[in-house]
Amino acid sequence: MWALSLLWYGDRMSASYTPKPVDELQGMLTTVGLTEPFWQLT
Amino acid sequence: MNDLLALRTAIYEHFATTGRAPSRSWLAGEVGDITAADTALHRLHELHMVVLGDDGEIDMALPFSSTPTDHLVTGDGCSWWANCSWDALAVVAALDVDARIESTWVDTGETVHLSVTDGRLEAPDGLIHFAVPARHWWDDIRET
Repeated sequence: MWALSLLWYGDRMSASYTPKPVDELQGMLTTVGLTEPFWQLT
Repeated sequence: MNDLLALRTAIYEHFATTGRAPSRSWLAGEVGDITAADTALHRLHELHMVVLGDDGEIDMALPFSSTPTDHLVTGDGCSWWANCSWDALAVVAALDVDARIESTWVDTGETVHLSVTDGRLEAPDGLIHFAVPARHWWDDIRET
């Protein structure tokens, strides 16, 4: 979850932050190994 | 949209420097008046950039909570409330600071102590329980 926190929230303080598209967020979950149906965003 | 994102940034910076959400009246000073602040806050709420309470004040700017929770993050001369265990890690990740986390298990009352130093979570083995499937997180973000 620490790795996911860095991916998901690492740029949250940036002035240029905008919400990420769902496929990018899904990619983060996949990157840290969360691929089961429970972790599907859509 | 640029003004809205600028306000979002100001909200997050307020959380980062004070550990608390800015009030509607403070935000009114940033955008001109309370009506403009409320309009902007509701738009940010619709975009899931903040979560408003019934009183129109900011309850959450994820991962930050405006009210005390069982998840306290301390570092860089400040402290922040997080909404959950993951958000406690996320506060540290977002702020990029060395920090200590105290998260209390709801069912047992046990407090878990974690530390992050130089971007590394010390003693990284542990368990976080997610009760809600990811596709339903925003159905009721307070319960997630």
